[in-house]
Amino acid sequence: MLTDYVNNVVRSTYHNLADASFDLESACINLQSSKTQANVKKATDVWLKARKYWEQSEAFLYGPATLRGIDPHIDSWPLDKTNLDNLLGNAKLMANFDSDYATNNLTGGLLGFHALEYVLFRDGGERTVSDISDNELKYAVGVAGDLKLQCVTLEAAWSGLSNVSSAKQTLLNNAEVYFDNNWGDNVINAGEAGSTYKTQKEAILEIIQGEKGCRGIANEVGNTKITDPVNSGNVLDVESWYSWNSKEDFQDNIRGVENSIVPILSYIKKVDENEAAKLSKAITNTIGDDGKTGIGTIPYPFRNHLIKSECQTAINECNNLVGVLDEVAVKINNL
Amino acid sequence: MHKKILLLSTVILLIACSSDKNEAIDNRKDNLSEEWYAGGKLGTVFNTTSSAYEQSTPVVDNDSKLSAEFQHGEAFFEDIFVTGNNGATRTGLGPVYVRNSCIACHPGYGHSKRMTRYRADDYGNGYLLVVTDANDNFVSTLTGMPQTKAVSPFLPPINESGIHISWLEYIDEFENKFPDGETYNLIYPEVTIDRSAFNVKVPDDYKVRIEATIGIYGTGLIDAIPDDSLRAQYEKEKLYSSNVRIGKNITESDGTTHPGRFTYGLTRGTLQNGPGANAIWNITNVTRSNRRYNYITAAYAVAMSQNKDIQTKLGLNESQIFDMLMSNNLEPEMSDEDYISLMVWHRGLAVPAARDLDSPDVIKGKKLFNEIGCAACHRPSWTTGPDNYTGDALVAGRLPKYPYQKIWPYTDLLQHKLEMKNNIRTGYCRTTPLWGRGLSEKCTGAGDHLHDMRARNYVEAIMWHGGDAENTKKKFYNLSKTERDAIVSFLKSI
Repeated sequence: MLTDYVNNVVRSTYHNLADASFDLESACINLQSSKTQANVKKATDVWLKARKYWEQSEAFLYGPATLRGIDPHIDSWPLDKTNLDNLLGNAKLMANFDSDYATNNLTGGLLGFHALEYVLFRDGGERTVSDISDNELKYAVGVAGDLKLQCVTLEAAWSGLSNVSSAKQTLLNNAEVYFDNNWGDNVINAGEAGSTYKTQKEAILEIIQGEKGCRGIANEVGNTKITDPVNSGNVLDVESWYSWNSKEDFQDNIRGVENSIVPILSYIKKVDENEAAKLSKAITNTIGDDGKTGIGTIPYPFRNHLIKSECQTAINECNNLVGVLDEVAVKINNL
Repeated sequence: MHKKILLLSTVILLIACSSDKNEAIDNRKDNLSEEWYAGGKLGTVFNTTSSAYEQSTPVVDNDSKLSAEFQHGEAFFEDIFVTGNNGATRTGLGPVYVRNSCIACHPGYGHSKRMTRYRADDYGNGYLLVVTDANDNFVSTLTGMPQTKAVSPFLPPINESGIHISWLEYIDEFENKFPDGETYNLIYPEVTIDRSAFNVKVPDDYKVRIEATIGIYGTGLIDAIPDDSLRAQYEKEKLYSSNVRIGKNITESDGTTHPGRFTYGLTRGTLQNGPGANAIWNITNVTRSNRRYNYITAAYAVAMSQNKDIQTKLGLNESQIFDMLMSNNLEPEMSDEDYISLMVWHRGLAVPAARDLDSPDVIKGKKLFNEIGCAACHRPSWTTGPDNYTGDALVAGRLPKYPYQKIWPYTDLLQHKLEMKNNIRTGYCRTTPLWGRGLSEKCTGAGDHLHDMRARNYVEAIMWHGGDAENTKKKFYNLSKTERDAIVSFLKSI
């Protein structure tokens, strides 16, 4: 079960994310060399694809994404716009700007998904190509290169350096990125000597109830990502607000929870059949693919609907999911 | 006394019958002795996940208002601050800053990691630069925690590229070898900063050291220990230690004074005037209603205002730039409500329950820990007082409380001398709390110890204990391997 989870959910998601990050860098390089509206669209499409994998991976932020500081490195927001303008206006720095510079000198507020989002998107759609400066493109290429390095690091940290493609291995070796353990194996081997998980149950509880696991992300979506901007009414507090992708992001967070539960559902059924059914239902309702429940009921785009009455259903459904995850965890804990 | 032993042996018997120790413990929470509740019943959480340090206390969990504020407040610790003032949350970073987030220095809410270079943006780098003259006095042209990051066109007081950390080998009086032949490695840092890296004047004989952050869980419980208990501990220790020091009396905003109990230098008397309350301002330079000025020195303001390049870029003259930097009337960048939420969160952090206290190894290790004298400075437990904090009117009455709790931080909250090579500034260091450290690797990805993170494991940390701890260290040195391992097992369990 843990092997199934690690291989088919975590490693697979990070593998897809890493591959998408290669495509994203290529798309930015392509746009830089051939500045056309079509190429802006290509880049935004790839950004959305990579974003989806990342948001789903937020159901398992424990391990390398947290311990190596990769999450704040590639997903910090808000963007540090003032410092970004300073950077773009600094001819000396921009002359030699590349992904190495980005990795070694910039911080979360100037890196990652939202930095690229700012260059590529405006008002929910692709930016008008003539509005994008050459320096912005140069910056985007460098940031995309750093994002690629971080995503590949995540894949290798969970899968093992020797198990990623040779191109990825070369990338990591050149950047002197080191690994002193294989986190995927660490989870798979829970309960055995050498694993940081002293029992299998500990690993299962991390997956289901961890602050950086399913419960953590469900809680964060409901009570921070949606609640904070609704309370402040400030559109600047909304994540992913250049692309207007927030609602999709939130749903993908819960799809990550869904993915995580699939390989352990039969185990949960054995523990408590009712709770398992309750959990499946709660997940589906929270995502609200059909637009009738949960996050699905938030009118698009979220950033224009920071009103309690329009978001309360989503918040309630997230809290319900958190409650069910907790109930499941208690049952497992009492075994 | 009898009752405790009976409970413990009952637990041991029950454990022996169960295949999974952890299950048994969780099921029999109501039968566990007080020692398992490292933060007392009100301040402990039973959690061994990688987020064990990030949990809210039962007090917070049982109050929906505190819970909501805890949730809101934690974002100010975990997420980055950015420059600018467009009204979005977490803005106002700069004009100079030490870090742009709190968690970067306290990864996983724990101790920071040993680093081989100083970069403010390296995740887990919790080093503060300690720049002094040859007599250990802080250089006056720099702030006590000097910044290395600046918002253009300003320059940081220190350019990071000029900071150099070397790790050197140290051979101790035992040639780094236990009597049974097992060896250990000891390293210590030497830190230098090129004169050219300073953007303010510094004296001819400046000296640089590093001090690292420690974990922040349980600080609310420590804050609830009454001052008199600290004073009583000091009186007791004076009888057998000539070097022991108690924190100087520090005045709070309500006029009351308290002996310092937080930081290596015992420089903070309460949590609400402590590292978190101050750091949210002086690490980021984000102003608030009672901090409407920048954390900078006049010397820095002079240097920046006289810089022609800066004058040109800002379109301002020298006195305008100086006045702007040194203003005492800056607009608050962090709202009072956000600050209060952060303080609720800070005081609401739980200590993870002890683990494996019933394992034979741990029991043996605990006995030795006490026998060889570790507990003389690493005092195992304290009892909190009524915990009616009123010192800061802004947060008075709004914080979680932990009255009359028996807690197990394993520190006497006093200073001692360990006489290490390239020692901490002044040579005196607060006994660092040992609770929760066994979960460090899991929660932070690292398990380094001592004020500059020079020890990579518990054994190295112990072997660096000279000065006031020399005799106890020698006793540790002369224990058998099984006994040494037992002490380490015990240290991991608390």
